[in-house]
Amino acid sequence: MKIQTGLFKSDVNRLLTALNHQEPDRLPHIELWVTSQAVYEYVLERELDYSIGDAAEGGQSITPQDDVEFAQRLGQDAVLCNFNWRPNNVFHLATDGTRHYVDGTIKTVANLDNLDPPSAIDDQLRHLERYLESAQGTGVGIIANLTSFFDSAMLAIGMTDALYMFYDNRPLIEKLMDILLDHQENVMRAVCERFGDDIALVMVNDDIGINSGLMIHPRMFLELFPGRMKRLIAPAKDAGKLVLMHTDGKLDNILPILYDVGIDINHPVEPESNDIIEVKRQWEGRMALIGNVHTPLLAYGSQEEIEAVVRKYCKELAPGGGYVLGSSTSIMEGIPPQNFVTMIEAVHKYGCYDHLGQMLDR
Amino acid sequence: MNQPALEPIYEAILIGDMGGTVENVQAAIDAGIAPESILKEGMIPAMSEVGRLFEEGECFVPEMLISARAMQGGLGILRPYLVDAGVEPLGTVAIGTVEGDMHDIGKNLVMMMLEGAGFEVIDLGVDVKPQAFIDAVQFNGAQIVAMSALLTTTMNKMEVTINAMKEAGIIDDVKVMVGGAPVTADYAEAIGADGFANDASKAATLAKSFME
Repeated sequence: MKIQTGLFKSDVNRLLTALNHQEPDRLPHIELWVTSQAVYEYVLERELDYSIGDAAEGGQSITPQDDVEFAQRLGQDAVLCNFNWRPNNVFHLATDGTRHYVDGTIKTVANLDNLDPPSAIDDQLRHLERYLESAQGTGVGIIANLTSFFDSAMLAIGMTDALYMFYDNRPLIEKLMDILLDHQENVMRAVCERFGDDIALVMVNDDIGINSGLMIHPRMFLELFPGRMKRLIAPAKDAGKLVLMHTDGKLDNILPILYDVGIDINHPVEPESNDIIEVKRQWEGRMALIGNVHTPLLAYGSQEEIEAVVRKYCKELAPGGGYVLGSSTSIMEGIPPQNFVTMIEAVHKYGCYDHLGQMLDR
Repeated sequence: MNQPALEPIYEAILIGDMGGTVENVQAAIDAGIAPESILKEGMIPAMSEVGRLFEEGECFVPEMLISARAMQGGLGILRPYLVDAGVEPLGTVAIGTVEGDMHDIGKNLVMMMLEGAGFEVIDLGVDVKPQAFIDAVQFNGAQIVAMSALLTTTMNKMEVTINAMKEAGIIDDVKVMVGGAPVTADYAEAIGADGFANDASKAATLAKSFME
């Protein structure tokens, strides 16, 4: 597998130009999470001598060197370096052998004494250094991606129990959010103080929405979220970095809150609950968007169908910048590697800003 | 509401007050109000209102959960009286998260709203093989099969299950509804489901429409 990236090599400035609502040479594309070993091996054209999983769920990440090579081969402009702290999650294996989050173990204040500790900040920063070294001279930028406090607290408690806990024991959920925030704020500060000039941008990963909108009542959400999120991203804003936030869900009532907090970019604009063309029209110049290519299309669609959707996005979403193409969640095991590559090749074919939506004449 | 004694039950469920619901259901029983009236004039309308508020964006998942919990508390008191009085459920639904998928929040929310609408619900749990859905129809009288999937890579098991129901010769005896994060109305139609709902409240409304 070789994608023809000759004309459009990885270039972090392409990504940043689009995220700053301007037009670069071609529509950028990025996958924030690839958890499919098959896709990595297909693109890298070799077997990995280790097994990868979802880093946010405790799995082994791809190595920095392999991740950067993956991006280069695709003409992708940046990769993530993860700073995860998702304590006390419980996973079970399904009958097909796949691993799934099922619960958390923090049910009482006393359980907080048994919170799984985070990785040492120095170790995490060394990991970032390895990413930066691997990316040097490649054009690939590094995005520092931090887990946050809202969904991490809910996952540590157990999602259903956490939803009850907003009424039954709100002090516990708030205390847990603050413990998570205190640590991740320190990580953010360390990253931005030591590597602020080296990283492309900062990302926070926090699912606050579902397909009907906010997960909890706006009145309660506004008491819990904005102040804490402002604290978390303050070091990045002080360092002049763009801040990207991942959250699932219907964005109508979510984006105004994120914008007020200081978020610059949203991922992944799930198509099940959002019309991305309308979202982009409403937020033109204020909130950049990443994603929205429906993963069921990538998993079950034909290559012609995938190419047609990408072509449409190049024509309708790319003009003016502010959009970066990517999947609606992540590239997971089960998505045929060739379908993923078809999506990328279609961006290269139809995403040139000189003639968006028209085939690039090589 | 014809009977003022049912108003406190309605209000208690609406605000998610389980203790209040239990207390007022017991009081209504003690006052000689028919169990069917307590259920159909006090409790089900309260959950229906919760669903309406959810769909209009005035109540959210935590409020829906605590109301459903209050409803469950009240049903715990009322159920033996309903059985004694021969009150039949609105219908029977077998619900589960499809094979390979262990996510249960969406499935549990739908289950609660279905119970709140007066259905008997057979909870098949998570990671449910097609045969378990078929068994629920053949041996437990399920009139509706409700399938949930959170993952792109497991949603295809909905189609696998529907095809298994066709092969088992039961597809015409049952209505199939599907939902979950990556599922769309178009997908539901493409795989031959009878209906799709993108939230728990709409799922209850859809199930009720199947019984009309």
